[in-house]
Amino acid sequence: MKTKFSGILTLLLAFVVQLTFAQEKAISGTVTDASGLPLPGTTVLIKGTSSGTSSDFDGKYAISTSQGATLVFSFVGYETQEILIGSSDVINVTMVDDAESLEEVVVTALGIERNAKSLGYGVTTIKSEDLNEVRETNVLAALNGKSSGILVTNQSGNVGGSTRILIRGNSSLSGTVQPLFVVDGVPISNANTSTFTDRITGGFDFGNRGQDINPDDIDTVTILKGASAAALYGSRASGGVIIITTKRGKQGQKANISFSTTFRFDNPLKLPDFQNEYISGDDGEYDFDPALGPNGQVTSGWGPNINTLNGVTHTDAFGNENTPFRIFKNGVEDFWQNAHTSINSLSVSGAADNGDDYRLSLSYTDQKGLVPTSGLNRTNLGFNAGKTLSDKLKSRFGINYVRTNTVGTAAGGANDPNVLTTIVNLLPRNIDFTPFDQDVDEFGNQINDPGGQTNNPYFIARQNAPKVSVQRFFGNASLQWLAFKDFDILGRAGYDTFTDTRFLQNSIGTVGRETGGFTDDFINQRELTLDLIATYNKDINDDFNITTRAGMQWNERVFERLRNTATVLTVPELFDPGNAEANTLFKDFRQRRILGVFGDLTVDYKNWLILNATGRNDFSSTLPVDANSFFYPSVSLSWIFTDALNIESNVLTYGKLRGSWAEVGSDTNSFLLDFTFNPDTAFFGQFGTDGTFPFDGQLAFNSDASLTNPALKPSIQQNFEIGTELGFLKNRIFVDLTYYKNNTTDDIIFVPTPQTSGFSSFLTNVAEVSNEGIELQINAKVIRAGNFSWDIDYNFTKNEFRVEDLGDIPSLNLATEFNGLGVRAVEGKELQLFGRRWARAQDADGNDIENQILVDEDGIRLDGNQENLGNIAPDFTMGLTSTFKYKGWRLSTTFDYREGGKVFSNTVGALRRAGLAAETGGDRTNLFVDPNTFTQPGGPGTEVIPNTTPISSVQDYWGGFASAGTVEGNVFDATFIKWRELSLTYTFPSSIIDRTPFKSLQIGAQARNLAIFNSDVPHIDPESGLGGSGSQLDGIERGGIPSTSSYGFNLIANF
Amino acid sequence: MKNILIKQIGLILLLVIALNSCEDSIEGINQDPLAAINIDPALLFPQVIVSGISQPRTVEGNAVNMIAQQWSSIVGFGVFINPERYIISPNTTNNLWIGNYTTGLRNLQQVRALTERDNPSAINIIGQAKILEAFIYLNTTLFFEDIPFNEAIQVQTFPNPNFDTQETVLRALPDLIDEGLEALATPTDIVEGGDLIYGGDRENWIRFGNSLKLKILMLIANVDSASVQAAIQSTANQPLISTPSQVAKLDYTLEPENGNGIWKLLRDFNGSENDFWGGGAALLDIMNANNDPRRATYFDDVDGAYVPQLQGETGRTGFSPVSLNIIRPEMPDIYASAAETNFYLAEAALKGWISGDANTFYVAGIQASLDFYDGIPGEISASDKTMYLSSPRGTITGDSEADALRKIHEEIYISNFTRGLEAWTNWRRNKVPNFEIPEGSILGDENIRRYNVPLSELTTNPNAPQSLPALDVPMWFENE
Repeated sequence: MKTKFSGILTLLLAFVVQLTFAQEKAISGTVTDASGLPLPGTTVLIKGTSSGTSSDFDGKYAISTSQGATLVFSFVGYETQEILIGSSDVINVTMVDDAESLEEVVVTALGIERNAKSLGYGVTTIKSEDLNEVRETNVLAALNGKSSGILVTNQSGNVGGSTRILIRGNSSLSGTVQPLFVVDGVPISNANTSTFTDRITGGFDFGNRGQDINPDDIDTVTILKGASAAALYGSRASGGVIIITTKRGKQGQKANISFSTTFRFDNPLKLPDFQNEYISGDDGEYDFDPALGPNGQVTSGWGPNINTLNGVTHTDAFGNENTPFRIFKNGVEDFWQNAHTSINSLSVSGAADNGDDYRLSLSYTDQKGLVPTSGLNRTNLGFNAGKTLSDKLKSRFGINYVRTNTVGTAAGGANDPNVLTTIVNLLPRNIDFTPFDQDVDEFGNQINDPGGQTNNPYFIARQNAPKVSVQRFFGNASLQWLAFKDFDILGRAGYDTFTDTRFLQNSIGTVGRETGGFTDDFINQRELTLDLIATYNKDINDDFNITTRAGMQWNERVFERLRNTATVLTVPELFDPGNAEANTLFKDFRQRRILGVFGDLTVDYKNWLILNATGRNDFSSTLPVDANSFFYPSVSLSWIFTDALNIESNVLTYGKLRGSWAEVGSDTNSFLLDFTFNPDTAFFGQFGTDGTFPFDGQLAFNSDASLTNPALKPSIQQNFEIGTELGFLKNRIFVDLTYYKNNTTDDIIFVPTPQTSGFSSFLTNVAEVSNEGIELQINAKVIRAGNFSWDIDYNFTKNEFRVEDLGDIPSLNLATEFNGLGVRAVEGKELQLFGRRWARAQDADGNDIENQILVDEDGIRLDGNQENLGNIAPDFTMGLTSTFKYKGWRLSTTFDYREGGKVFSNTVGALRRAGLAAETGGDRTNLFVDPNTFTQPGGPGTEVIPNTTPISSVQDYWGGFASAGTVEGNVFDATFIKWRELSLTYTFPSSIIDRTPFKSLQIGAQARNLAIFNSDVPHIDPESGLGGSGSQLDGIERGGIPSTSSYGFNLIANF
Repeated sequence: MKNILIKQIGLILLLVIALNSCEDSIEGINQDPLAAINIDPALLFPQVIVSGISQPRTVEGNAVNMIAQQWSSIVGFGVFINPERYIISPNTTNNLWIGNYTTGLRNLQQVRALTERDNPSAINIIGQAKILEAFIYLNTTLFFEDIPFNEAIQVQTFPNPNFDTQETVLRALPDLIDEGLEALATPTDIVEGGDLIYGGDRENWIRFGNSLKLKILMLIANVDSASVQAAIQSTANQPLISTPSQVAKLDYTLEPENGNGIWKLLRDFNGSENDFWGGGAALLDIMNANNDPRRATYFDDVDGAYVPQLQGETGRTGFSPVSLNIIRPEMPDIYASAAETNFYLAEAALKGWISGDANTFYVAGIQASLDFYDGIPGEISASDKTMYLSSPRGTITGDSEADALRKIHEEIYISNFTRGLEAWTNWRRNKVPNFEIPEGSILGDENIRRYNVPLSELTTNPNAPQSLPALDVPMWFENE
């Protein structure tokens, strides 16, 4: 209203001014936004006067003034700019989004739009241009380093692999900790479903489904971090909410066609450092004898030094006789193929004067991964439109189709022949990779395998590449009825469905799966959400405004799966059930519903004191009937004290205090209440010796191994937070500080029970966990000098997770890996990595003396007990984004720093045990005394003697230090700094663009994950993970595909 | 105004109706359509026998063939070589524990509960269940010594079962078997198809129960023969497993994916050839010394000779691998054998605990062992059988008691081929034959005597022992 009025006024004034000062200098130009698009309606005033104009539909303006005057360009939501009139008659202005605009509208729970100023809790909103500064194919990965309060972990370098996000820490021990994803007000799935429940033996991480969202369609991403912010989402909000608002046709904009293209090269960010001196063998002896067949070789890297083998020949692994020994340095490096990514997007959008708008977008992503043959292609098609049907009725609708095809995802973990990283990393340094390229003979049989139990890596990559195809629809339709003055009703339906079709194959002749086999896995997930929200908004008087809402939400989620595992094939490469001797079918069905009824009251006093209270009652289908209804409230307060106290200072421009308290309840998974007998189609055997039922024609049923507490009740998360937002120096420096404490009580978890009771677990309300932390965001407009600007966005997060109570049990394994290694909750502590340590000297009471590691009579470290190995979560994280702008140039870079936490890497351990890691090389005749080790010949409580026995051999030393079972030596401090993003873009000025068919044109060079600094983890990226985003197996790496580093360029054009 | 009021009331009504119908849709959908609330207990038997008993005994127990020094690992893969050197994987102890207690005993408890509720007259089913329970407890105590027994599988009363000593468990098991035998005394409904051991043959179940009881009593007798002498005599008078057709075993089958897990390892990792397991010296030394015809059944020769490989050694050729006569899809898991029963009787007779001629039992034991392969791969020819039985090996008549005992113990050891747990148990009981110390052993100069209770139990059960004995500490029944 105000804008419109001032627009009319300025037009009028401009007319007057023109009459009066016609003899003065005529200035004209175009006002554009950061992406180069015209910005109509920008107010242009001559400083110190009331004279001015505004830009027209094409962003053009013209004004008369005199040299030496200053023009002031302003537009709501953009930074106001002042430009001194020089000799030039043309002044083009690029308006910059005002990130800290206090009038900014934030989309909160249920799609309710609220003024940022009025919020009583901390949220982070990331705009599309910051999100897509350097393109990512998975939107979660693009959040790295951009917000406080979140921890984003990319699991591996597999194309389409998953990215895990934790908002304000692990909110539950139940495993349900991933945030809710909401697109345009409607929840969608971010599932990361594994094909087999076991993620560690050859698990394939086919990604979190949040990756299906087209980053080009995103207008903003808002992260609701606390329960207060998310309270209206009810029981699903305990892990926080990621709200994505998609782009729409902009009001006042003619049809706009936007095209963007990105192309980049992806390379391994970090590969192992290998020794290049020692060949395969044992104890310094080369021991591969092809006559002995595949078992002739024991270890990869403990043979003789290559320098001692001048003139010596051998029959190599491929049967070539009289071959001299040689080191092949680049085998692993060359194995990973040159990867690249291209993303092309096209959108058409616009809006009519009456408010009807539309946007149609199409995007195609084509990715080739590091793993040979691996790749991903994704097609996104999106359409949304709004239509004003009458002055009382408005409607919107949006629909998205996504198709993602992934091929060649490599397995992680172990005990599976398809774990590629392990194969290539552990091949002897004297193995020539070149012959591997011929992986099959004319009949399709594997050739050129390196012996032992190892397959030809190209055979695995090419012949056993899994294929996954996901087809997804999600969308929503809403109708808003302005029933009476100040009162409207919104009805909205949202639907998300996808079919995830997976095909995993083991070709005949795969060592470890000699007879071949395959798995077909069909997963269908669907979710329907219906909302009905009534809103009443009333100005009581000039000072008071009241908004009340009441509504209900109905949500249903269904998961269906049919999986067939076929084994023992007859005709090679024919993956049909009829060609398999055994087919094991597995069927699954899950269904759950929630009905929520809620109310929301906002009282606004003079725009500087805003109270918001909400209440929601959920009815969940998954809880016992008499405990399925649960109510939870929230209240938050925002006090803008600079307005309230009329503080007018050039130092402190803006000051707000906020506080909130909230409670959200949480239910459990479906079908857990009854004690049932379950038909079984498979029986377990270690080392892949599983078999199938029926056995000898007999069906098999199994009774539930878990009992459920009949008095199960919802778990409750309480959240308290206070914060302040301070704007200094006319908001040039903006500080947002939050302290929070969340407590989850009555957490619903499967408490492991003694197997001897007959049951493995008891589902009940037991644990209490808390997260306490500090979040700080600072945005500083460091330099504003004419055409040059420098902005810094900094964020800091410290979250401390604590297991407050575990009931009667001392600890709880959240996830376990091999050799007893796992992630466990221990009362009074942060989540611990847990596994076997080296033996320590012990005092008389049998307690370990921490810093006195014991060695045996050969000077080799001894195996000790299973103990906590340290916290998994980082102590704190920081992100820093710095943006420089000069005229059309923009240079932006982001760093991401994580301090502390532990990571276990079997990749590192295996390289060391095998004598392949660089540190195992060098002089192996130097039998040193393992420093700071001890012996305690008399047993616990007796004298501890510093060790003086040199190690028996370097091989034995690393065997003990990097032991597979005693994992202590394979656990590292996970601290790292990553240079996440670097981009340089240039937006062509309108003076050039005006002569082209473009409305705007921007080109850029960009890089992602440029480097890792300050990392103690050798050989691998410390960010790697085995479990995927849906598992609690944080901090454990085994056989992961190297993560990538990307360089490329992009172009954005608008027509 | 009135109009607005009506509209508002209408709206509220609409909301209330919508709310009610939505709420109705919440309740009553939480039943898993793919699971049953009630079933015929017979349907639980295959789960108990295959997953609960035999998978732990074959796949996990395969390492025990090496611990019993009958087999020796040829290849250096950790999963094979580690247990041979007494490095026992936590997964193995965990899988054994879970298989026995959770899969085996829980489902048997459900079998009993369902039978008592739905078909209370079918007491034979209760009998089958109790004998299987006794067998599982026996297997468990022979791996772990002290285990929960009196308080096990009663989650409502004993959520955290206390551990019982091996003595308590072994002395209680004959009573449990007696309860089972009593329930089997007269014919009622019995599990037939799901009974993968005997197909519902009640007589054989009685033999299985008695043979199991005899074995348990003989273990106790090793420590305290006086207390069980009478029981041994009375058990010896009962029907026992005495011929190969009465052997309690699970036959894995040729049906796809119903094959023995040990064979599957060869199928999946080695093209169905055996480059993985060779013959152990403890076994082959005796067999070579006696020109035992079972060598050709058990092993492949190397140029006519049967060459053992030392425990803990790997990576060399020239050793006799375990024959594919043995490692084949149908390779059975033998729960109680006719040979073993006869050798126990021979020992009891020799010691004067039972009436009867020790040599007769001894010969019957060898005969049963030789006859076991009749009609299956590795069949031993009649002439070979005669030759062996007529050799000095074929009789204990005229031997000193010590020599006779040694022969019985050696023959039970030979007959227990592929039965790692039983062979290991008899070695622990008899210390026959002499075991070598495996190369690379982590137990110094000692042989392994036990597995340790897995961490999963220690961390969940406050009544579990606070500290565990070292792996070389003998068990109670060893009488050391």
